Amino acid sequence: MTNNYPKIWFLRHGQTEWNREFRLQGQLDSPLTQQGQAEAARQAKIMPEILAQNPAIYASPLGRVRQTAQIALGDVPRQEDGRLMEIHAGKWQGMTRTEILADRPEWAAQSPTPLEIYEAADGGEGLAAFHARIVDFLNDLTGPSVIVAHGLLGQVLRAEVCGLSTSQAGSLSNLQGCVYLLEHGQETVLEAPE
Amino acid sequence: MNPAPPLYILRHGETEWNATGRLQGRFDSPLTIAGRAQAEAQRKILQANDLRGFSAISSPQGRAVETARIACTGLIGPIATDPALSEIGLGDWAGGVRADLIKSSGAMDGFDLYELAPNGEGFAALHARCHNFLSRLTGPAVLITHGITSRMLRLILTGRKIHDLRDMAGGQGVVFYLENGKQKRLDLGA
Repeated sequence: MTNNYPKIWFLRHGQTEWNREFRLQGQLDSPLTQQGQAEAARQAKIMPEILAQNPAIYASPLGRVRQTAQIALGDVPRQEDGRLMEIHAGKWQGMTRTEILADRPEWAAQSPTPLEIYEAADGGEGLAAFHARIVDFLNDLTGPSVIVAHGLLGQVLRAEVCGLSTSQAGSLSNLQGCVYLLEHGQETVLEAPE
Repeated sequence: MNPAPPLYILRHGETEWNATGRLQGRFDSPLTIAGRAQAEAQRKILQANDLRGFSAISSPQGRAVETARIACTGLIGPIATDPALSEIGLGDWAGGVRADLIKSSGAMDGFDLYELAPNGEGFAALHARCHNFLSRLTGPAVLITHGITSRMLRLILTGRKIHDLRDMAGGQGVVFYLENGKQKRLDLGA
Protein backbone atom coordinates (compact mmCIF):
# COMPACT_ATOMS: atom_id res chain seq x y z
CA MET A 1 0.00 0.00 0.00
CA THR A 2 1.40 3.39 -0.88
CA ASN A 3 0.18 6.83 -0.09
CA ASN A 4 1.06 10.30 -1.21
CA TYR A 5 2.26 12.00 1.94
CA PRO A 6 5.03 14.53 1.33
CA LYS A 7 8.55 14.05 2.64
CA ILE A 8 8.55 14.20 6.45
CA TRP A 9 11.32 14.52 9.00
CA PHE A 10 10.04 13.37 12.40
CA LEU A 11 11.73 14.26 15.69
CA ARG A 12 10.69 12.91 19.08
CA HIS A 13 11.41 15.10 22.10
CA GLY A 14 14.41 14.16 24.27
CA GLN A 15 14.14 12.13 27.46
CA THR A 16 12.09 13.80 30.20
CA GLU A 17 12.06 13.29 33.94
CA TRP A 18 8.85 11.29 33.65
CA ASN A 19 10.22 9.17 30.78
CA ARG A 20 13.02 8.19 33.12
CA GLU A 21 10.53 7.16 35.83
CA PHE A 22 8.26 5.29 33.35
CA ARG A 23 5.51 7.71 34.33
CA LEU A 24 2.77 8.22 31.75
CA GLN A 25 2.76 11.78 30.49
CA GLY A 26 0.11 11.83 27.80
CA GLN A 27 -0.90 15.47 27.63
CA LEU A 28 0.72 16.30 30.97
CA ASP A 29 4.34 17.38 30.90
CA SER A 30 7.74 17.23 32.57
CA PRO A 31 11.05 18.87 31.68
CA LEU A 32 13.89 17.33 29.69
CA THR A 33 16.64 15.62 31.66
CA GLN A 34 20.30 16.33 30.91
CA GLN A 35 20.27 13.28 28.69
CA GLY A 36 17.16 14.65 26.94
CA GLN A 37 18.87 17.95 26.29
CA ALA A 38 21.90 16.13 24.88
CA GLU A 39 19.57 14.16 22.60
CA ALA A 40 18.02 17.37 21.29
CA ALA A 41 21.53 18.75 20.73
CA ARG A 42 22.35 15.67 18.64
CA GLN A 43 19.25 16.36 16.56
CA ALA A 44 20.46 19.95 16.13
CA LYS A 45 23.54 18.62 14.32
CA ILE A 46 21.34 16.80 11.80
CA MET A 47 19.02 19.72 11.10
CA PRO A 48 21.03 22.24 9.02
CA GLU A 49 20.92 20.10 5.85
CA ILE A 50 17.21 19.53 6.37
CA LEU A 51 16.38 23.17 7.08
CA ALA A 52 18.28 24.14 3.93
CA GLN A 53 15.44 22.46 2.01
CA ASN A 54 12.97 25.01 3.43
CA PRO A 55 10.48 22.58 4.94
CA ALA A 56 7.36 23.67 6.81
CA ILE A 57 7.85 23.11 10.56
CA TYR A 58 5.14 21.83 12.89
CA ALA A 59 5.36 21.05 16.59
CA SER A 60 3.26 19.85 19.48
CA PRO A 61 2.45 22.66 21.92
CA LEU A 62 3.51 20.60 24.96
CA GLY A 63 6.48 21.90 26.97
CA ARG A 64 8.89 19.01 26.36
CA VAL A 65 8.51 19.47 22.61
CA ARG A 66 8.94 23.25 22.84
CA GLN A 67 12.12 22.68 24.82
CA THR A 68 13.38 20.11 22.30
CA ALA A 69 12.49 22.27 19.29
CA GLN A 70 14.29 25.24 20.79
CA ILE A 71 17.50 23.19 21.11
CA ALA A 72 17.18 21.23 17.86
CA LEU A 73 15.83 23.96 15.57
CA GLY A 74 16.78 27.19 17.31
CA ASP A 75 14.79 30.23 16.34
CA VAL A 76 13.45 28.93 13.04
CA PRO A 77 9.73 29.82 12.98
CA ARG A 78 7.46 26.86 13.66
CA GLN A 79 3.76 26.33 13.82
CA GLU A 80 2.24 24.61 16.85
CA ASP A 81 -0.61 22.21 16.15
CA GLY A 82 -2.74 20.62 18.87
CA ARG A 83 -3.23 17.52 16.72
CA LEU A 84 0.43 16.71 17.39
CA MET A 85 -0.07 16.34 21.15
CA GLU A 86 0.60 12.94 22.69
CA ILE A 87 -2.30 10.48 23.06
CA HIS A 88 -4.39 11.34 26.14
CA ALA A 89 -4.25 8.65 28.82
CA GLY A 90 -7.27 9.78 30.86
CA LYS A 91 -7.02 9.01 34.55
CA TRP A 92 -3.74 7.18 34.10
CA GLN A 93 -1.79 10.30 33.21
CA GLY A 94 0.76 10.96 35.93
CA MET A 95 0.83 7.32 37.10
CA THR A 96 3.84 5.07 36.70
CA ARG A 97 3.77 1.91 34.63
CA THR A 98 4.33 -0.07 37.83
CA GLU A 99 1.34 1.54 39.57
CA ILE A 100 -0.90 0.85 36.59
CA LEU A 101 0.15 -2.78 36.22
CA ALA A 102 0.15 -3.53 39.97
CA ASP A 103 -3.63 -4.21 40.01
CA ARG A 104 -3.52 -6.16 36.77
CA PRO A 105 -1.08 -9.06 37.15
CA GLU A 106 -2.40 -11.01 34.15
CA TRP A 107 -2.00 -8.07 31.86
CA ALA A 108 1.38 -7.25 33.38
CA ALA A 109 2.51 -10.78 32.50
CA GLN A 110 1.93 -9.94 28.82
CA SER A 111 4.24 -6.90 29.08
CA PRO A 112 1.95 -4.58 27.15
CA THR A 113 3.65 -2.02 24.92
CA PRO A 114 3.32 1.64 25.96
CA LEU A 115 0.85 2.13 23.11
CA GLU A 116 -1.32 -0.72 24.43
CA ILE A 117 -1.30 0.79 27.90
CA TYR A 118 -2.48 4.13 26.54
CA GLU A 119 -5.10 2.37 24.45
CA ALA A 120 -6.49 0.68 27.57
CA ALA A 121 -6.36 3.80 29.77
CA ASP A 122 -9.43 4.61 31.83
CA GLY A 123 -11.03 7.70 30.22
CA GLY A 124 -8.27 7.85 27.63
CA GLU A 125 -8.46 9.05 24.05
CA GLY A 126 -8.18 5.60 22.49
CA LEU A 127 -6.18 4.53 19.47
CA ALA A 128 -8.90 5.03 16.84
CA ALA A 129 -9.45 8.70 17.72
CA PHE A 130 -5.70 9.24 18.06
CA HIS A 131 -5.06 7.72 14.64
CA ALA A 132 -7.88 9.79 13.12
CA ARG A 133 -6.45 13.10 14.33
CA ILE A 134 -2.99 12.15 13.07
CA VAL A 135 -4.36 11.28 9.61
CA ASP A 136 -6.31 14.54 9.68
CA PHE A 137 -3.06 16.41 10.35
CA LEU A 138 -1.14 14.50 7.66
CA ASN A 139 -3.81 15.26 5.07
CA ASP A 140 -3.28 18.97 5.62
CA LEU A 141 0.41 18.80 4.73
CA THR A 142 1.19 20.50 1.45
CA GLY A 143 4.94 19.96 1.11
CA PRO A 144 8.10 18.70 2.82
CA SER A 145 7.63 19.06 6.57
CA VAL A 146 9.51 18.77 9.84
CA ILE A 147 7.40 17.47 12.72
CA VAL A 148 8.54 17.70 16.33
CA ALA A 149 6.31 15.70 18.66
CA HIS A 150 6.00 12.61 20.85
CA GLY A 151 6.89 8.94 21.00
CA LEU A 152 3.52 7.26 20.53
CA LEU A 153 2.38 9.94 18.14
CA GLY A 154 5.51 9.16 16.16
CA GLN A 155 4.88 5.41 16.17
CA VAL A 156 1.32 5.83 14.86
CA LEU A 157 2.28 8.54 12.37
CA ARG A 158 5.24 6.58 11.04
CA ALA A 159 3.15 3.40 10.76
CA GLU A 160 0.51 5.33 8.82
CA VAL A 161 3.03 6.85 6.41
CA CYS A 162 4.76 3.48 5.88
CA GLY A 163 1.48 1.68 5.23
CA LEU A 164 1.56 -0.40 8.42
CA SER A 165 -1.47 -1.13 10.59
CA THR A 166 -1.92 0.65 13.91
CA SER A 167 -1.57 -2.73 15.59
CA GLN A 168 2.01 -2.86 14.32
CA ALA A 169 2.76 0.70 15.41
CA GLY A 170 3.48 -0.23 19.04
CA SER A 171 6.43 -2.43 18.10
CA LEU A 172 8.17 0.19 15.96
CA SER A 173 11.33 1.76 17.27
CA ASN A 174 10.79 4.91 19.30
CA LEU A 175 14.12 6.67 19.46
CA GLN A 176 15.16 9.96 20.94
CA GLY A 177 18.15 11.93 19.62
CA CYS A 178 17.71 11.02 15.95
CA VAL A 179 15.57 12.16 13.03
CA TYR A 180 13.25 9.78 11.19
CA LEU A 181 13.08 10.58 7.48
CA LEU A 182 9.87 9.35 5.85
CA GLU A 183 9.84 9.39 2.09
CA HIS A 184 7.93 7.30 -0.49
CA GLY A 185 6.48 5.21 2.35
CA GLN A 186 9.95 4.32 3.62
CA GLU A 187 11.68 5.20 6.85
CA THR A 188 15.36 6.07 7.34
CA VAL A 189 16.95 6.82 10.71
CA LEU A 190 19.27 9.84 10.51
CA GLU A 191 21.92 10.12 13.21
CA ALA A 192 24.26 12.97 14.09
CA PRO A 193 27.82 12.53 12.81
CA GLU A 194 30.01 11.09 15.56
CA MET B 1 15.81 -14.92 -8.33
CA ASN B 2 18.96 -13.21 -9.59
CA PRO B 3 22.09 -13.86 -7.54
CA ALA B 4 21.84 -11.80 -4.35
CA PRO B 5 24.49 -9.18 -3.58
CA PRO B 6 26.90 -9.81 -0.66
CA LEU B 7 25.07 -9.48 2.66
CA TYR B 8 25.94 -9.29 6.33
CA ILE B 9 22.98 -10.54 8.38
CA LEU B 10 22.62 -9.71 12.07
CA ARG B 11 20.06 -10.76 14.64
CA HIS B 12 19.21 -8.19 17.31
CA GLY B 13 20.88 -8.55 20.71
CA GLU B 14 19.25 -10.27 23.68
CA THR B 15 16.07 -8.62 24.92
CA GLU B 16 14.30 -8.80 28.26
CA TRP B 17 11.83 -11.30 26.80
CA ASN B 18 14.54 -13.44 25.19
CA ALA B 19 16.09 -13.65 28.64
CA THR B 20 12.84 -14.89 30.19
CA GLY B 21 11.93 -17.37 27.44
CA ARG B 22 9.03 -15.43 25.97
CA LEU B 23 8.00 -15.22 22.35
CA GLN B 24 8.09 -11.76 20.87
CA GLY B 25 6.94 -12.02 17.29
CA ARG B 26 5.78 -8.56 16.35
CA PHE B 27 5.76 -7.45 19.98
CA ASP B 28 8.85 -5.77 21.30
CA SER B 29 10.98 -5.48 24.42
CA PRO B 30 14.20 -3.55 25.07
CA LEU B 31 17.74 -4.94 24.82
CA THR B 32 19.31 -6.16 28.05
CA ILE B 33 22.85 -5.18 29.07
CA ALA B 34 24.01 -8.46 27.51
CA GLY B 35 22.06 -7.58 24.36
CA ARG B 36 23.81 -4.24 24.02
CA ALA B 37 27.17 -5.96 24.49
CA GLN B 38 26.25 -8.40 21.69
CA ALA B 39 25.48 -5.46 19.42
CA GLU B 40 28.87 -3.96 20.33
CA ALA B 41 30.49 -7.26 19.39
CA GLN B 42 28.70 -7.18 16.04
CA ARG B 43 30.02 -3.68 15.54
CA LYS B 44 33.59 -4.93 16.07
CA ILE B 45 33.00 -7.75 13.59
CA LEU B 46 31.63 -5.36 10.97
CA GLN B 47 34.45 -2.91 11.62
CA ALA B 48 37.00 -5.53 10.60
CA ASN B 49 35.41 -5.77 7.16
CA ASP B 50 35.36 -3.51 4.15
CA LEU B 51 31.89 -2.02 4.09
CA ARG B 52 32.39 0.35 1.19
CA GLY B 53 29.30 0.28 -1.01
CA PHE B 54 27.15 -1.39 1.68
CA SER B 55 23.88 0.10 2.88
CA ALA B 56 22.18 -0.66 6.22
CA ILE B 57 18.63 -1.99 6.29
CA SER B 58 16.89 -2.87 9.56
CA SER B 59 13.60 -4.32 10.65
CA PRO B 60 11.55 -1.35 11.96
CA GLN B 61 10.95 -3.11 15.29
CA GLY B 62 12.50 -1.43 18.32
CA ARG B 63 14.95 -4.18 19.29
CA ALA B 64 16.36 -4.36 15.77
CA VAL B 65 16.77 -0.62 15.30
CA GLU B 66 18.37 -0.39 18.76
CA THR B 67 20.85 -3.06 17.69
CA ALA B 68 21.43 -1.40 14.32
CA ARG B 69 22.13 1.89 15.99
CA ILE B 70 24.85 0.33 18.15
CA ALA B 71 26.31 -1.92 15.48
CA CYS B 72 26.25 0.39 12.46
CA THR B 73 26.24 4.07 13.41
CA GLY B 74 29.36 5.72 12.07
CA LEU B 75 30.38 2.62 10.07
CA ILE B 76 27.66 2.71 7.47
CA GLY B 77 24.44 4.49 7.32
CA PRO B 78 21.97 5.96 7.52
CA ILE B 79 19.85 3.01 8.64
CA ALA B 80 16.82 2.43 6.45
CA THR B 81 14.00 0.36 7.92
CA ASP B 82 11.95 -2.15 5.95
CA PRO B 83 8.91 -3.96 7.40
CA ALA B 84 9.84 -7.00 5.28
CA LEU B 85 12.62 -7.66 7.82
CA SER B 86 10.19 -7.82 10.77
CA GLU B 87 10.01 -10.99 12.85
CA ILE B 88 7.55 -13.70 11.85
CA GLY B 89 4.09 -12.86 13.16
CA LEU B 90 3.01 -15.04 16.09
CA GLY B 91 -0.64 -14.02 16.08
CA ASP B 92 -2.38 -14.71 19.36
CA TRP B 93 0.71 -16.23 20.95
CA ALA B 94 2.99 -13.20 20.86
CA GLY B 95 4.13 -12.50 24.40
CA GLY B 96 3.52 -16.08 25.51
CA VAL B 97 6.06 -18.20 27.38
CA ARG B 98 7.73 -20.62 24.97
CA ALA B 99 7.85 -23.62 27.33
CA ASP B 100 4.20 -23.21 28.39
CA LEU B 101 3.00 -22.95 24.81
CA ILE B 102 4.93 -26.03 23.73
CA LYS B 103 3.35 -27.99 26.58
CA SER B 104 -0.22 -26.76 26.07
CA SER B 105 -0.24 -26.98 22.27
CA GLY B 106 1.52 -30.30 21.86
CA ALA B 107 4.06 -28.65 19.58
CA MET B 108 7.10 -30.71 18.70
CA ASP B 109 9.45 -27.86 19.51
CA GLY B 110 9.76 -24.08 19.52
CA PHE B 111 9.77 -23.91 15.71
CA ASP B 112 6.46 -25.73 15.54
CA LEU B 113 4.82 -22.91 17.49
CA TYR B 114 5.23 -20.55 14.55
CA GLU B 115 3.12 -22.85 12.36
CA LEU B 116 0.51 -23.60 15.03
CA ALA B 117 -0.07 -20.07 16.37
CA PRO B 118 -3.67 -18.92 15.78
CA ASN B 119 -3.58 -15.93 13.40
CA GLY B 120 0.15 -16.42 13.05
CA GLU B 121 2.00 -15.68 9.82
CA GLY B 122 3.42 -19.15 9.20
CA PHE B 123 6.61 -20.18 7.43
CA ALA B 124 5.24 -20.17 3.88
CA ALA B 125 4.18 -16.52 4.14
CA LEU B 126 7.48 -15.59 5.77
CA HIS B 127 9.34 -17.37 2.98
CA ALA B 128 7.42 -15.37 0.37
CA ARG B 129 8.08 -12.12 2.25
CA CYS B 130 11.83 -12.83 2.50
CA HIS B 131 12.07 -13.94 -1.12
CA ASN B 132 10.38 -10.76 -2.25
CA PHE B 133 12.67 -8.65 -0.08
CA LEU B 134 15.81 -10.29 -1.47
CA SER B 135 14.65 -9.85 -5.05
CA ARG B 136 14.22 -6.12 -4.40
CA LEU B 137 17.80 -5.62 -3.15
CA THR B 138 19.87 -3.45 -5.44
CA GLY B 139 23.29 -3.70 -3.78
CA PRO B 140 25.39 -5.09 -0.94
CA ALA B 141 23.79 -4.54 2.46
CA VAL B 142 24.00 -5.12 6.17
CA LEU B 143 20.63 -6.47 7.34
CA ILE B 144 19.54 -6.22 10.96
CA THR B 145 16.68 -8.56 11.67
CA HIS B 146 15.31 -11.30 13.94
CA GLY B 147 15.93 -14.93 14.78
CA ILE B 148 13.43 -16.62 12.47
CA THR B 149 13.53 -14.04 9.71
CA SER B 150 17.35 -14.23 9.65
CA ARG B 151 17.18 -18.03 9.30
CA MET B 152 14.65 -17.78 6.48
CA LEU B 153 16.73 -15.22 4.57
CA ARG B 154 19.84 -17.38 4.90
CA LEU B 155 17.90 -20.52 3.98
CA ILE B 156 16.81 -18.90 0.72
CA LEU B 157 20.26 -17.47 0.04
CA THR B 158 21.93 -20.85 0.48
CA GLY B 159 19.38 -22.64 -1.72
CA ARG B 160 17.73 -24.72 0.99
CA LYS B 161 14.07 -25.72 1.41
CA ILE B 162 11.65 -24.54 4.12
CA HIS B 163 11.85 -27.85 5.99
CA ASP B 164 15.56 -27.16 6.59
CA LEU B 165 14.76 -24.09 8.66
CA ARG B 166 15.41 -25.88 11.95
CA ASP B 167 18.93 -26.73 10.82
CA MET B 168 19.91 -23.14 10.17
CA ALA B 169 22.32 -21.88 12.81
CA GLY B 170 21.31 -18.89 14.87
CA GLY B 171 22.92 -16.79 17.54
CA GLN B 172 23.11 -13.31 18.96
CA GLY B 173 26.32 -11.25 18.93
CA VAL B 174 27.47 -12.90 15.71
CA VAL B 175 27.27 -11.89 12.05
CA PHE B 176 26.52 -14.13 9.08
CA TYR B 177 28.19 -13.23 5.80
CA LEU B 178 26.42 -14.46 2.68
CA GLU B 179 27.94 -14.41 -0.76
CA ASN B 180 27.43 -16.56 -3.84
CA GLY B 181 25.10 -18.92 -2.02
CA LYS B 182 27.61 -19.60 0.77
CA GLN B 183 27.23 -18.70 4.41
CA LYS B 184 30.07 -17.78 6.73
CA ARG B 185 29.60 -17.25 10.46
CA LEU B 186 31.74 -14.41 11.83
CA ASP B 187 32.36 -14.00 15.54
CA LEU B 188 34.89 -12.24 17.69
CA GLY B 189 36.33 -15.61 18.66
CA ALA B 190 39.85 -16.11 19.92
